[in-house]
Amino acid sequence: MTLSYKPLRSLYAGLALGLLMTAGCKKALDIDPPSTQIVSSQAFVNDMSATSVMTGMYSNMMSGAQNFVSGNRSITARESLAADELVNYLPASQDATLQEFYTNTYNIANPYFWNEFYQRIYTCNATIEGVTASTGISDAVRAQLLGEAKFFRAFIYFYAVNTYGDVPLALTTDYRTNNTLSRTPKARVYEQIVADLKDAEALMGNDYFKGTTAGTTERARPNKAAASALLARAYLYMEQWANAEAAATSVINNGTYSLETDLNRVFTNTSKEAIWYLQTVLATNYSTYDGQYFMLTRVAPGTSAQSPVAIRLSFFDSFEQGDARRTNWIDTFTINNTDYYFPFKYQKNLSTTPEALLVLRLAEQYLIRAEARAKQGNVTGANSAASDINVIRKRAGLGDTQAANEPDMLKVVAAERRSELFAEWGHRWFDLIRTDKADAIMSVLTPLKGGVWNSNYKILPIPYSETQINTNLKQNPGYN
Amino acid sequence: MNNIVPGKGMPIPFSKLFMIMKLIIPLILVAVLHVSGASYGQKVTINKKKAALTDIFKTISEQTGREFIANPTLLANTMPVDVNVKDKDISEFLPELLRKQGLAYAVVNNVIVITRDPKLLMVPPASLVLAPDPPKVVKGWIADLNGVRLPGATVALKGTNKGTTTDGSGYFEIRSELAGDSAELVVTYTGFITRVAHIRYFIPTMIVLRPSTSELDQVQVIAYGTTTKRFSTGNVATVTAAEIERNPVSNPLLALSGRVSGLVINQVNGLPGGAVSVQLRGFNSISGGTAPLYIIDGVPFKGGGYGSINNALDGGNMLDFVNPADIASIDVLKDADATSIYGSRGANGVILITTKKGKPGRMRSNVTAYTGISKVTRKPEYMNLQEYLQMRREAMLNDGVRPGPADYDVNGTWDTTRYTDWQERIMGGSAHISDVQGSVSGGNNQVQYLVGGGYHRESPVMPTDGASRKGSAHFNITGTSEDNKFSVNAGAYYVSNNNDIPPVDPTGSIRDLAPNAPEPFNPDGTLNWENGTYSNSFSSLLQPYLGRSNNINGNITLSYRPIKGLDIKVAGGYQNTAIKEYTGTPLYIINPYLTGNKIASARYGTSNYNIWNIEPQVTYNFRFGKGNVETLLGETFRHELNESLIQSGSNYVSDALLKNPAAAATLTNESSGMSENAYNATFGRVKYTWDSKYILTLNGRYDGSSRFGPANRFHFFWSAGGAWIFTQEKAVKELVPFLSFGKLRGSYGTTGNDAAGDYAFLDLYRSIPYPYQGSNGLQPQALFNAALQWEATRKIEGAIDLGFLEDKILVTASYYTNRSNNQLQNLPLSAVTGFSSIRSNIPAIIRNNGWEFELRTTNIKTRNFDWSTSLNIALPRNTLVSYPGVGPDDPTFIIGKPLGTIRVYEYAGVDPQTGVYTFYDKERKKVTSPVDRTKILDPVSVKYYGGFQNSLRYKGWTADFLFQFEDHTVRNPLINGTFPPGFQGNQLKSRALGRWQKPGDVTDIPKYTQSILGFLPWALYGKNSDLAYSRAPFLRLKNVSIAYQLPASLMKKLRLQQVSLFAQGQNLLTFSKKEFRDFDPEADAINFGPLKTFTGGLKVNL
Repeated sequence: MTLSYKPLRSLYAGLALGLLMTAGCKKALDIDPPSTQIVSSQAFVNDMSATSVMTGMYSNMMSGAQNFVSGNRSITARESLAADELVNYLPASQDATLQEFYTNTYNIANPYFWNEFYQRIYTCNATIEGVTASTGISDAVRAQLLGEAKFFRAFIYFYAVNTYGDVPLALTTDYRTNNTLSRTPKARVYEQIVADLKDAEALMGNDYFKGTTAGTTERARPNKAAASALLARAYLYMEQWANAEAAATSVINNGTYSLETDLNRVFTNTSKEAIWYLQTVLATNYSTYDGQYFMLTRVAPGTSAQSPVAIRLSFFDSFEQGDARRTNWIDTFTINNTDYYFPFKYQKNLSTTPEALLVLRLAEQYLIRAEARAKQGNVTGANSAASDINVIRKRAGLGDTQAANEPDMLKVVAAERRSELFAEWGHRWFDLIRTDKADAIMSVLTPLKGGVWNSNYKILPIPYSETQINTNLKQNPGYN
Repeated sequence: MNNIVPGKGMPIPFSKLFMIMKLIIPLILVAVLHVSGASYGQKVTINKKKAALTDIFKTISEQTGREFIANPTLLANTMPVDVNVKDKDISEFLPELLRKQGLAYAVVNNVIVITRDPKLLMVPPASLVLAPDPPKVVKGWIADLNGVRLPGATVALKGTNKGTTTDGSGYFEIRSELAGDSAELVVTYTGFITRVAHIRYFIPTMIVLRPSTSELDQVQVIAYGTTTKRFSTGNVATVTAAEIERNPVSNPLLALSGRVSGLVINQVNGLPGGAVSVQLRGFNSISGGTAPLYIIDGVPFKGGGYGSINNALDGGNMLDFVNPADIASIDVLKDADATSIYGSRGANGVILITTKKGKPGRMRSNVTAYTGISKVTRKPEYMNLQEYLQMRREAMLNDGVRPGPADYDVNGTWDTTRYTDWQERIMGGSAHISDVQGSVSGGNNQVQYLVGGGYHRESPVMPTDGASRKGSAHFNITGTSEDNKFSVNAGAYYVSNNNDIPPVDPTGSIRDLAPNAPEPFNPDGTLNWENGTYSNSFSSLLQPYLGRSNNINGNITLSYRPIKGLDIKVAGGYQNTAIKEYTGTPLYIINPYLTGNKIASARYGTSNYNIWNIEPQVTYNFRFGKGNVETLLGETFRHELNESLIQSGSNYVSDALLKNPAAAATLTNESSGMSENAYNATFGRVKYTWDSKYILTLNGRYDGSSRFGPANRFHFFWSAGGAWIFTQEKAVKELVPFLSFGKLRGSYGTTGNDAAGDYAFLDLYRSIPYPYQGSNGLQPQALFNAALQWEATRKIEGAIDLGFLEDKILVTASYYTNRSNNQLQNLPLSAVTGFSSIRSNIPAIIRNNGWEFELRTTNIKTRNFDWSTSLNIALPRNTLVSYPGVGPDDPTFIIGKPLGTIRVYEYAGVDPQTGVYTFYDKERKKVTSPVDRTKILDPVSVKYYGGFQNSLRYKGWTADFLFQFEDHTVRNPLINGTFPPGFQGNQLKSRALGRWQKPGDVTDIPKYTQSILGFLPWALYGKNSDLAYSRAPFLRLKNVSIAYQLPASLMKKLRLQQVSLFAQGQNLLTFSKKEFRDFDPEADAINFGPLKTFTGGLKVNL
């Protein structure tokens, strides 16, 4: 028998077709995600998990000693050194970066805040995208999370433009887009900051959230007032005085916040003037890394990487006589017959009243409004710059201000900002730049600190590796 | 008894029915006798004249208990015979008796099958031929020498395009329009000699094929099928069980060393269960996924290391969990034609392991046992006491210092007259190895089975307790339905390994011991710390370790043949490997004089690998024109799940509780992993063989893997291979008659490498363990890369296979080029993306090309004496062709050089004036602290390698010698200790004696020093210079196997089938450059190298 293969061929073809139809079946490749980690689609599947992405960021910022919010790498420590508030005692061999900020001489190889800023921005963008796309999230949590993410994105971009100038504006998680972004002009970034904060104001309520539920006394997640407070600051930096005044007024008139009369209670987690703080998550001896790094207890500054700095004597001397902030927020440590002054805003052990890392507090809002009012010519009288300044001065145990015209009042506002907000979030340094005082002061001070002042060094260099990977990123002037 | 009336279409003339009845009756009788009978001898006594053959058979049956089966038509026309034998074995007279009748016999399952004599084409008497009844038909069966039918054999009618393949019972039928009363058939079957048979029409004829002894016709296992070297279009190398059995090794990979061209197997670690490096045609991938794909009985096996927590094993090797004695053959697939059907996993080549199966025939039992010893291949020659003390004192003198308080060896603390040869003491001993394997197999045409088991034990050379013990079991069973349409094959093997050898490689610590270091043990057996002056390196030899692993692999194949040529199969397989390990650091091995906390600790490792694989397949073979078409279509479903957990505990109340994690005061989970991946693919192959002359193979696989991004989950891989057997051309045959075989073949195709790791494309979030507002948070871990896909390798190969003088000389030369693109790498990203990099495919190209030569010669082949030789040489070259964004000064990647090439300082000699190392700087000036690494060095690729084997047989004696040679660059012993000469701790004579002593001395050994200033140039520059590396070409007598088979006459008396005695050796002699005289050149010169092993044993077949 020779084979008649024609019918067989059709049988065979049928079998082939059957096999082909099952092939390429995507189902067969569906596997469970790893049990040790989770994929993004599952991160935003419900209220609990979606909330934990922002929670993870707060936790991550507070669990490391080396984040931009606290410790040796914080904006507070670094920019206080860059300005005239702190002296660095730690040898450059132990921490070159502190010395670089201290001498206002930056290294283009050092990423400084850059990587962390964008890492946080990614989380915000991922939350915005994830929460928007998710169908399993309740409306309340969706609004809160979108608000938080937009608020936090604005918060980071605020520091990004003030430390780097023009920055790439990444508003998506798509790495292909972000990998080739050019720098966006500072003014445009501010527009985004304002837009995000206005969205955040609209999305969030006055209640604070704890996890997925609203209505807690913990002010550990941003709320509507936090967005308004940051908006006030942004308008101040943008010199939109009326807007700044309006935003600050909305916070001051909110009713939830009042200045603590006891200065030692300002930086606790029950502080009445706290608008937003970050909670402590580590069981160290101190509530905050600021407390740990600034307080001098056993050794002279610079002896240990954990005690690198002390307050500059001239800064200590700049306080008015009788200013309660100098006596309450600065402490003295004497060793080998030398007195060292150190910031004592954070002072507590975990065992006593727990502290929290205050990010936004009411006192700043009074100062913002005072400045905005002064700039608009509302210097004295009721609801003027003077009335706001006097609230702050009164709490510090000082008499009313005597300033009666705009230039004098602006000087008083600057002095009060210096005394009230020292060693906090780089306020002093950014004020010097914002008000164009940096060149005058630093050209004298920087040589004393061992550096050479260059007007370009008001902002940091774009990390060299970034300009290599993304050739659209052009370096700041004065760095190469 | 279906063999009595074989197959279909048997024409039985009515007139012959009587004859059949006559035959059946005695057969029934025989069967009855057999059932009732006791045991019978093999000898018979017959004295008959003019007897019918059937009567003779009946008599034999009665006397021996054996049944006879015959085709009645064969017996119908036999002549009466005279037989007069006394007490003779049937084999002594039956062949001659049958030959006269044109018959032969074979013993199958204790049954004697009578067949037509294959040597003698006896034309049956004309009386049997019926009147011509067109159309004419040739029909019959194809069987092997044992009478076993061969399904799927190709039968072609010579002079026509007609042909067929045999069915499940080996039966065929072809209609013929040719004139005459007989036809010429060409019968071909894989592994057998092609035969031209002259068959008369209408008479069903048994055509017996002889197995080919030619290397060209040995069966090679390929992807989803088999082939032979003769008809293969791809590059496949086969290592048989006989070759594997010669190696007294526990990891089957080690038996491949030197036997396969293009495959480098290096035993980088001489401890039982240690790591083995496998390199098949070079490195195709930058990020390390260079392991070949292992497939055992059709089921992918997770090979490579398993991340053992026993550091001395260098990660271990999973193939150690496969028993070499269970393996029937290992086939190594190299080119595109052979590997592209494995799609995304075939880029690094494929190693197919086939386990043993039962064969039809009587029950066979065999037992093999051997025992032996192993020793280190080379004993390093260290300084003696005088040389050592001289060195130490000279170093102090050079540094201008007196012995310090910690210089116990020379400051008077330790006895300077005491001398211990630590190398001899710790590494000079013998490891013991013993192995027993047994199996029982057998079956008939319907059912075949094999059951085997084994035990292997290996101890280390160090003077410690502990051994690696391996127990294994293996079975395989095949069943076929009566009509041969349905069959099932199931098999499983199991290996359980128990290793409690201390987890230490003492090679380095021996070197750091002063020759006058104190006795390691106190008289009471505890460790001697010599009042805190002695960090006793024997302590690690007392460290407890327990590694237990269980590996089970099972597979089952169901196949159904609805019509001739068509097979529908489903193959399923499962692997589970469970590994549990423990290492302890009990208090009794901790130096009590150390400051700080002395706490007992332990580590625990658990890992589990699960793989299942299901592959439905359809094969359909048919004739088309003058050729054969073989087609295959199948689908793969595969799932892999890996789990691991490493824990460490500390602070145990008692050393006795170290094995118990629950007894640790602090237990830390170091790492926990769980990962899964799944594959789904459709594959197919078409092979067309035209007239045994032109062959074309097309392979394709549409492959999908869960490891890759959704945008690139599926991809099509394909290959085309062709061969031209030009010796089949008449002109060639006439032109070069001494050329018995000639084939040109080539292939081109694509394969992939999926070494991305599981979940690499996903945007994963990990849990942050610090609660904020009382709950744990999540943090983004990686970016989503929807486009992540496999590395792609394009393979091209061209080869020529030649056979001379009736295949007595076989030569193969092949040239290949593999180009690998799409390298899986971490692509650096701007931090603006939120991450520093993303796992992606980078268009970096790596090329592997080279020549491979194989030569096999049968030098002498006579009745008593055989001698054959084989030689293989590979000349590989690896080149990083391009890597985007890499400049000429890139520290890691050097374009145009082999992958893994490094930049080192260029050694410029020891300054004859000062006795310190100097190096060339950029301007070729000699400096002592170089900045620029000006020298480029390749410590990875192998320049050439191969094997040379001789096999000899003289009567019952056989001897095999395998030499392995290799040229590679490794870290040399010259500069790779812990300290330079002068420090406390012994030194090799060869690297320390000829040092610089005074200005003017020219040497490569700097002046002795024991200060940090002397240490730094040695450690920072010397070790990172070309001085630290050497080319280490070596030639090694890898394997010797001598066996003696006891004579058959003795066997008969012992009632045994076969007994052989054998002696084997591994790594017996090693020839290398002088600088490697202290260390084995195969391993890196500072680790435990492979051992030399001598064994002796016995193999008994019952």
